[in-house]
Amino acid sequence: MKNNSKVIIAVVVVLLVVVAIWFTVGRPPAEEPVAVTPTPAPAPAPAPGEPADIYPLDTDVVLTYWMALPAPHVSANFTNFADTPLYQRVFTETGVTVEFMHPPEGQATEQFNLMVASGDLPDVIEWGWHAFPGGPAKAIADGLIRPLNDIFENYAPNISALLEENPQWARQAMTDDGTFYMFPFIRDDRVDNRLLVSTGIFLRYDWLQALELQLPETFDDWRTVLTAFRDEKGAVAPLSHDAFMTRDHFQTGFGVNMGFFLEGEEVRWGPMQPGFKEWLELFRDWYADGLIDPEIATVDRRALEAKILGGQTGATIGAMVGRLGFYTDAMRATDPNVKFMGTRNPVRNRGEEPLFGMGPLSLGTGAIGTGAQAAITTRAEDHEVEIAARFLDFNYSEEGYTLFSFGIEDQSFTWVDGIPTFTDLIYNHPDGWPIAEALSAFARSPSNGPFLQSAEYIWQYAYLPEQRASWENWEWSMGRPDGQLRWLPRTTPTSDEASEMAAIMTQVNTLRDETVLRIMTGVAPVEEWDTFVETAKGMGIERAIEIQEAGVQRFINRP
Amino acid sequence: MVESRKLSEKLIDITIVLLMGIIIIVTVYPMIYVLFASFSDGTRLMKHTGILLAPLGFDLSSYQAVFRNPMIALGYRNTTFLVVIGSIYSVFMTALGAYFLSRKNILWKGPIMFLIVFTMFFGGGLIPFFFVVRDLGLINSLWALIIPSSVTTFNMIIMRTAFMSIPDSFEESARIDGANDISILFRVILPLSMPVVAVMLLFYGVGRWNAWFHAAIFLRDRELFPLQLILREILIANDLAVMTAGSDAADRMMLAATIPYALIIVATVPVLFIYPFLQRYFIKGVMVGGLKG
Amino acid sequence: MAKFVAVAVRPEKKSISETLKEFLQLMKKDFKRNKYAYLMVAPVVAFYLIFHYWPMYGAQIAFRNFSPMLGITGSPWVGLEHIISFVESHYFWRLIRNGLLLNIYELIFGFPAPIILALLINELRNKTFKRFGQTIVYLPHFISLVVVVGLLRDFVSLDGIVNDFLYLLGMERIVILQRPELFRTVFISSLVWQSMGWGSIIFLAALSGIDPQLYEAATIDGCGRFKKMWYITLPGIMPTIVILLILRMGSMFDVGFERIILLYNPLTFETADVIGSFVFRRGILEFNWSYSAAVGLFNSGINFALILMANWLSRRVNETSLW
Repeated sequence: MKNNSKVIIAVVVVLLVVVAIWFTVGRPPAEEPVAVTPTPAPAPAPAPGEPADIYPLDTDVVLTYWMALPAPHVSANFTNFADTPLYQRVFTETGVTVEFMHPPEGQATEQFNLMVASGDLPDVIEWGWHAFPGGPAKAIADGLIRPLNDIFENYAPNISALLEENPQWARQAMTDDGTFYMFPFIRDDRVDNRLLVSTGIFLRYDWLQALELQLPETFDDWRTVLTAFRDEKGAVAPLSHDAFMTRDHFQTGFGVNMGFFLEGEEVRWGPMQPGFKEWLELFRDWYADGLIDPEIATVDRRALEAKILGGQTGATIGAMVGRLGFYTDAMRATDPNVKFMGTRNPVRNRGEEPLFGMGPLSLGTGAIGTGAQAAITTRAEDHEVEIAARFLDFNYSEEGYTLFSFGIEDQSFTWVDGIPTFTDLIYNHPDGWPIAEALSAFARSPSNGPFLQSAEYIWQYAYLPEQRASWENWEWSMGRPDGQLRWLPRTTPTSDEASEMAAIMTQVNTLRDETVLRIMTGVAPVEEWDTFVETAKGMGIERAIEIQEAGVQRFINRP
Repeated sequence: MVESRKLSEKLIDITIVLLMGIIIIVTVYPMIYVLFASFSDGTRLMKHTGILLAPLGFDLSSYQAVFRNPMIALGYRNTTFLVVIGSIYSVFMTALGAYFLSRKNILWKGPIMFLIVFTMFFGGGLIPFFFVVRDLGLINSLWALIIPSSVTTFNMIIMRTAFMSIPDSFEESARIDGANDISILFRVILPLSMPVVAVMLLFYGVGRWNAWFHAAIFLRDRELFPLQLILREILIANDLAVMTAGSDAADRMMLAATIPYALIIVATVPVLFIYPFLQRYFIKGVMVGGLKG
Repeated sequence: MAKFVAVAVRPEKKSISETLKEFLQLMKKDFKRNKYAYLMVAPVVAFYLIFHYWPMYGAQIAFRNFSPMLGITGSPWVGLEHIISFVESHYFWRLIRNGLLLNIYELIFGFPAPIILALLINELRNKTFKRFGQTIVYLPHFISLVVVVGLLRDFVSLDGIVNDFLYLLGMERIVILQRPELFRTVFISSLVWQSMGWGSIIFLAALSGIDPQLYEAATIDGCGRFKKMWYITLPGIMPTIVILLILRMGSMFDVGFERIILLYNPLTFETADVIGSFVFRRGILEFNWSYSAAVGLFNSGINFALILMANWLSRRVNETSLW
């Protein structure tokens, strides 16, 4: 009994102590970050559009710059970005020195949060601001990063000019109320979508040729092809994929996808539409006939690799560089005839146009890329803001543009007929670095960053002829400017909306994934789809649609 | 009667040996697989499914990739420091705590035990922990990897249980001889608890050997990085390589297939040498030496 | 002759100040007698206070909407919102049930395994084989989870060993990982396989602390090996077993979600999805410190209640307990 009362005393003491600590220890004793409304420094600035004779800048300021070192392309060979020939050149050209700070690989999120929470901010941060709780608007409101509208006007003529000439890009780079917050990564889509569409369905073209079949266009074609793969080529898993739930390429033929889409300005949820049931029936048939990998639910990247390299799978979905290129390279060592080719998304009837497309609204895979974007923090003092802005703006100038996409003249590229063309140093690096790494020492085009990615680089990078041919097929499916149904633009939900969405969608997606696979593998009858729709409604899918619509409306109304 | 007992004993012996043999095969096989895989050719490994009875081809490139990294030597050095200093320090602290918690007749033993166990369930999370370490000035120093993890409660409870199983007669006779708590711990209890001390050294040692998370958060200078953090970076970088590399990066991809295995071997082999060394403390009858004195 | 006199004795009621005085005197005596012990434990207590209790104010993150810029106390207070959101979710009971069942299975199969292994090793007569065995069996502990699960997935794939075996027995090949009813078996097997050896170390150490004279005496008395095990070995390691069991109770609501994520897929969500994996999937949609903290708190709360019960029970039944 004595023991018990002592325990009780201990508990009470603990509670008291904890409560006392709660109310007294609050924020860390570090400096408080304060929301800053920056006033433009009164220094004279060149008018936008004038040639940038201001470089190299005459300054002693050393900027601190936090970003995750691009892995693996840069990190394989350098431990600090400042050591690369690229940034050595940038420092010389701009006259500015930058101290890069990189978190250990894989720890970026924790490091970012700790850095922000401790108030120990650098001048510039490259971060995916859409992943910040509450989005970029909250990052500004909470006093982390600076609004850039005035800064662009005064110190960044190059990016200002670009955004003015291309309002569709400007739209994507701002918050809903028109505030710019980052020096964006822009994929040049003024000519075509080559930089935006890089993933699609592809299959063993050499098998098709041996079987005297054409690239499949309709679902019936697909049945023929997959059956032939199964029967004549011994493919026990003719169609397979490792992230099945994230792919829509077969569903688009039925006018649906796995998530949200736009019909006009209204938002719909794909799995709820009748077309989805049709697609489920089709795939259920295919699965029952052994045309789809029996292990489809458990396949991971390595298992998929094994199946493709081992000839068990003839068709899959993936990226033209990371998958198609890789498989080709890996297999040609033993079988030089191996050839993969991408196809268009299948349609119901021959000659039909794809139902999904990209229109002016639909910037789901938009020019403003995903990933980390450079922003100037509130830690930067006013005079440092100017330097930082000019430093980043350099990337969008003539020289910067060429440098960041192609690298250093006469080292990584030479001018051939007016087009920067990669040199042998890139294709046949003396130390055996693959193209991506060789290029990444000189340019940032293989990953992303604050610059305009040139459309000229991609075909030199993905140089297999079938990659370009594949892209054309994929682009055809995704790139209809007049498509009635479209992908959602990248909206910026408020933090409350984001939380609500996450709460609803975690459940809904769980239900969706279970239902799709259960019906497809025959565990459940197709009728289960009907109950699924009802349950999803009960989970709040209609509220989720509302939230998406609100976001889309705000996007449309951006200035 | 003696005959049949011997026979049944023998049968049981054989069964036990067989059982043990099966267990050994099943538990050692993963490591053998890892060893073989680390020496294999990447492309063949990627295509292969099922058991490995030998390396597929013989390819040292995964080891080359690991050791080519200039940080590896530094990593070993830092980790050795952490393991040696850190384990001894932790075992020392743990022994102090376990001793206190194992004595009878101490008024505050129960509540303190409760408070300690409470921390196994409730904590403040990463951010305040980071601030505490920072406010103590430990950021970017190897001590940040030792002091904030001085004691693992689970280990201390194990040690306490072991201390509690030592008969009171030892402590009593030592007190009669005029010893205080400090000498009782170091001259009586610890020598009689060598098996559990060995286990503690092993647990803390392995824990420090494998640790990388605190290093990732508290260290800025790459020269201070412990081995596991470096190895982890290599692993992640290679994983990313597979997702994003260019068309000609097949070599890098092959590497990605075999590197995880090489990393495990590189990280584990040193540990394999420590355990047999500590094993000798697990011999029966260690306690007998001091018993009838 | 003593006379028995029944005397009604009324227990004296002590006043509060008297009780306090008695207690203070007790404390003084205790400090005097145990001052060295208190001295010795002081650095340990300091460690816990500094690195565990001081940061505890951060636990309130579960009751706020944390934004890193605003700091913990600067973030808006939302009370039980996150916990309620979690409890009200459609899958709440399924997640709890799955976690609990997995833990119970693990307790039944995974807890005894290291003990049995230690006993087995203990019974080996050949010293070399014994040494060798001890050194080998803990190796899987050092192999990273991804690799172990990778091996396992290989073994249970359509053309893997397990299916080969089934085929030999005349059965059809099945996609094992897609069967919810088989998930627990696969999960527990992989767990036991990897942790059995390492877990036996504690028991081996405990076994070596048993007085060999007890065994000698038992042999003289004519005991066979099973009698010895029952009467000497098991009681010898019983305190260790009990303490570990109590501690185990304190993690009944935790399931290593990394292992689950590597092994599960939507077809097995029915039996495999647990709190940790669900929160992980939510974290992909929205990285929310407060939500995960809230769920963690909920989890810890239940675990703590369980360990309190287990400890109380243990104290009543035998002498071994945590406090």
